[in-house]
Amino acid sequence: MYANQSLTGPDHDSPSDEFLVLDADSSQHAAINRAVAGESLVVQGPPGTGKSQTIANLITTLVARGKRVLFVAEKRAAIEAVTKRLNQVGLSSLVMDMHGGVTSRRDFTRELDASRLSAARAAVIDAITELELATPETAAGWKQLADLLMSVAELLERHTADVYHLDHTDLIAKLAPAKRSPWSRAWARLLSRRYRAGRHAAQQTLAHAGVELTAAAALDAMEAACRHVEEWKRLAGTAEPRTPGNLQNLRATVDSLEDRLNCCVTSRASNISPRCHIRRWPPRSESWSPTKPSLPGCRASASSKRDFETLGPCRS
Amino acid sequence: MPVLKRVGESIPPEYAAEAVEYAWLRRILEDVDFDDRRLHSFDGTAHSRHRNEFVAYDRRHLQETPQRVQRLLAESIIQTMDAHGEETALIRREAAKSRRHLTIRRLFAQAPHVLTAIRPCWTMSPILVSEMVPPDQELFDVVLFDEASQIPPAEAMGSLARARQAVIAGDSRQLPPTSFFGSSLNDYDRDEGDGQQDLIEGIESLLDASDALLPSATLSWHYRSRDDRLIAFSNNHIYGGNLTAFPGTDSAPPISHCLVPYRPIVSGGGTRSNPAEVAKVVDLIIEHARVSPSESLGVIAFGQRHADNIENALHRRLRSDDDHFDEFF
Repeated sequence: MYANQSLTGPDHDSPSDEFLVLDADSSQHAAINRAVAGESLVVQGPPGTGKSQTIANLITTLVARGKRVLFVAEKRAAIEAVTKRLNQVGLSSLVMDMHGGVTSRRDFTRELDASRLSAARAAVIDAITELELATPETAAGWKQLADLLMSVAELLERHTADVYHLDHTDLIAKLAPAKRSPWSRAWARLLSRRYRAGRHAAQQTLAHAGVELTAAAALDAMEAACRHVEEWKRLAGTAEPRTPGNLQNLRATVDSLEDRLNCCVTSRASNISPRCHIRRWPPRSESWSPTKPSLPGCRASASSKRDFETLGPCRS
Repeated sequence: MPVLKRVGESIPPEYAAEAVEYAWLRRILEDVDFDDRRLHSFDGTAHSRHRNEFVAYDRRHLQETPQRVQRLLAESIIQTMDAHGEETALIRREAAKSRRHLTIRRLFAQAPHVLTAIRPCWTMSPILVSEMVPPDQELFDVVLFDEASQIPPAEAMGSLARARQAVIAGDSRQLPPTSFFGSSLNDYDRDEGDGQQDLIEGIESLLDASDALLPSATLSWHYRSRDDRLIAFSNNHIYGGNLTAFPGTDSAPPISHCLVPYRPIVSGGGTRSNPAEVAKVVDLIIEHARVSPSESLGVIAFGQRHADNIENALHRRLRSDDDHFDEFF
């Protein structure tokens, strides 16, 4: 059964390097591994041997490894057999289907932009979830948390416009369980300031974001969020900080962040793009492992999946 | 002799040989079980438990992978947008416009990184590739063809020129592209009689062309047929018996052959259709409608004339028949 297993055969990858999203047998897996290793090859697929399924798995694996794929077929049915499978596992956002040509360049660019926005949002939600789940106990842990907070703020800064379409109430609710932890005060201040400053920016950015959401509804959500934050701030104020020194550092960090965030919002309002560059992506935690779904990475991506789904392609 | 003792006395004499053999083999098994560390330490329950755990983890791994891929994709989009701010700005501007958008080709030329980061997989027909995508080998990492037996080699060149790696999927035993124009062109070329002929002779599709040049991987498990006897003929005669299919659970053969006497009528046009065969097919259709009207039925004929004859005969039969199959037809 596994007689023809070679080095490119299945089960030589660790689960964290393996990106199959559909079942694959040994011959399919071997073909995928050879292609992923960079080999140009012919894949012979007699009828009913799972050719489309193999291609769907191959596309996913290549994309996960940062490769860009051009998928060509003469007939629409061949393309659909593959995209249908990717849709089933919620990965339609990988593919731009141009087989039928482009009927409206407007819809095309809007769809691209919508994907861009949802990526920015997914990244922010991921980072915030990671932040939310952090429970530092050592000085080094606090340092890491401060770094993480910093990078989240940077992320927010760079994508201010995009992030305002988050459901803020939901976001706050998610963070609520952490409200007694020492850093929550600092975090609440950051959020609060962000929302207040954001109210002005939101009106402008909503218009061209291509998201079907009325400005009024977004502003309502944001007002509600602000009230939450105020309440939360009050609660956080009474909490006893466990390590005053570290908290002070964190406060200083947040203060400087607020200033930068303000600059960012003002510059955006006057239509000058901020000169901010990414310094660091929030480190993906070591525990990013499929066998431990309760740890930060997985939860974070669960929310990003929801975010991808709710947005969808833009219609106008 | 302990072996013989185990046989006991209640066994009738005619089974003596089997009984001795049984006892002998049984004793060997017990011995091995006792002596071999791997066997006597084997715990069936634990083994099943491990297996079930593995199955459950494997399932979960499979279900969680789409989310892992989405996260990696989001990271890559963010990183690419940060690294190529001017491209991001271009796409933002384009999305805000209500008219006079750039063509896709120009968008590809001006924002190649961000465009392929936002959507890392683009699907097109071979013709569209040349129209939409500028010829740049850096634009895509891999070009992937499906149903390559239907793509003429010349049409594939444009796509091949836009990536550094190619994966060509197809089935070389399937029909080549319809080559109505292709064949007339080939005939014309043949008249010219230049030396180029040999290169393309006998090569009708991208799959044929690349099969000669590239290594290949073959998918070998057949899933579509619910009964392996359905694919058995193709497997033996076309795929060299290399397909592994799964046996069906039904004992009745899923495929049967009705031999009909061959008495073709050759008409003026030269198209033949055997009346006895037509009658037999109609009989079978009526029988199916009578016996299992809830199951759908497909009739395939090799030739338009033959199909028309069957259809006409069926209509005549339905008009003359006393039975009514209105629900079925």
